Amino acid sequence: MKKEFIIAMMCVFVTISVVSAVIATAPIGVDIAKEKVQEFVNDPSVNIQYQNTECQNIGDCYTFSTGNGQVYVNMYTGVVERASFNDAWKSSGEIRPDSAGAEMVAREYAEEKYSGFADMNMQLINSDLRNHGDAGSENSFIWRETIEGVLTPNTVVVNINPVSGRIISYIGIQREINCVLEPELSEEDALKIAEKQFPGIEVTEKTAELTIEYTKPGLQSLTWVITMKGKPKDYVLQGGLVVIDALTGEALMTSPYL
Amino acid sequence: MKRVLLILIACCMLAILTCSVSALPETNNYDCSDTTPTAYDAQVDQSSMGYNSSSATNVFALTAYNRFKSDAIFFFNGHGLFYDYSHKGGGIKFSDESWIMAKDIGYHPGNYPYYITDYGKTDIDDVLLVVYLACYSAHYNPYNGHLVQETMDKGVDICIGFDDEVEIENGKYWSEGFWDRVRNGESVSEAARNAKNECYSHWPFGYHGVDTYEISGDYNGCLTPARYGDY
Repeated sequence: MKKEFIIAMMCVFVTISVVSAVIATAPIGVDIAKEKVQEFVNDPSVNIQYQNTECQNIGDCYTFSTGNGQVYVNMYTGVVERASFNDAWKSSGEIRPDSAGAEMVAREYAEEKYSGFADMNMQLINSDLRNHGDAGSENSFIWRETIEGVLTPNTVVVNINPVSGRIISYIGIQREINCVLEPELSEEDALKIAEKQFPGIEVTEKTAELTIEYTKPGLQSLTWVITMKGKPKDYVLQGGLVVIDALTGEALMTSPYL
Repeated sequence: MKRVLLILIACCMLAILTCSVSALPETNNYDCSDTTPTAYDAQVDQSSMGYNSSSATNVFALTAYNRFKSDAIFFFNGHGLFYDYSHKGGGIKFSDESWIMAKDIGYHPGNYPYYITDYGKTDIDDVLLVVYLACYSAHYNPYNGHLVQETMDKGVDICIGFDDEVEIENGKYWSEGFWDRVRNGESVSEAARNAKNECYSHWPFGYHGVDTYEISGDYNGCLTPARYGDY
């Protein structure tokens, strides 16, 4: 009797595990994703149209047109991971936030849209005013979570119109970390490996960041991302970007400058 | 007699077909570094928009310079000019150390320089779009001028360049997104910025220079229907 009870319990446990695994890996479907877009844009008059499904290493998304831009919804979590608002490019000229004001606008938006932003160790790693010529300009703010000195895939980008302060675009990636954070390869050794990718380079500048990257679909890897510049050769800038596996020392990507 | 008539009809049909193909606006796409297959991919997208499109790898600058006169779209993916940090931009590199540059102010790299300023008033004034996907292609160089600006001064409708370093992999990714998006009807500026945002989450995370794109001219313009630019 006891034996039968244990077997029955095991069967129930296995069933629950299988069902929850299926639910966790099943796409939410276009209709639910569409509701998520509606919640995100918070405007009942918006005409949301499904466009397609896009696959990247960081995950798959449903993409929607809102008539005023695009919204990307994670196929499995339902989280809005990217949004753009075309009308925000138009400058009303009413508000002109200074750089501190612009950062505040961007931060408030990040806190509103990105779950747990305030509780995570989000570092502002870049803030720039980007001039796109006749197509306008944008103030770009980029945050990335840092854990034990490692940049994680958890990141928020908010680009705002520098004149009106309106949000032009948003990117918010949130993933559970499932790779080791301790490198086997030192920064010094990583820089040596990177230098070997550009034979004959006379290095003038180099930077290295320990970061978790999705180097293959769904696969997190601890990497050194190296930027290396060298003296020009034949009137062309030398160096580029190198991504090195921080555990094995393998150069995963070498991308010279154009 | 019947045979002669058949041959005559066949010739006429061939002539009509040739005329209709050659009437399509021409485009040329160039990969001039380890950037393949961006030029070919661009060609495919442009063809599906109705352009008579070609792509080539590592051509000599004079070839591209001459073809430019009959282009509706000119796309270059390769190296930009870099003397030093105070003198960068203003030129794009083709094979055999040949270059297309903005203008001649006494300095030039290599033995085969061709200048945008040397084009006649109407040579490239009906070009719809030029994309210089190269480091510092939208940066003023005291030695060789501003490539985007000089191109626009010759009457091109829209021109895109980059004002910083761009590396091959992100350049490829941006290019793929950009041409795919204009094919799907997005305006040039929408396509450029959406392709830029796509690059951010491509590994390694970050824009890596593609966010420095600059567009001159009719940035809200679309590339469909296939056409030449305004005179």
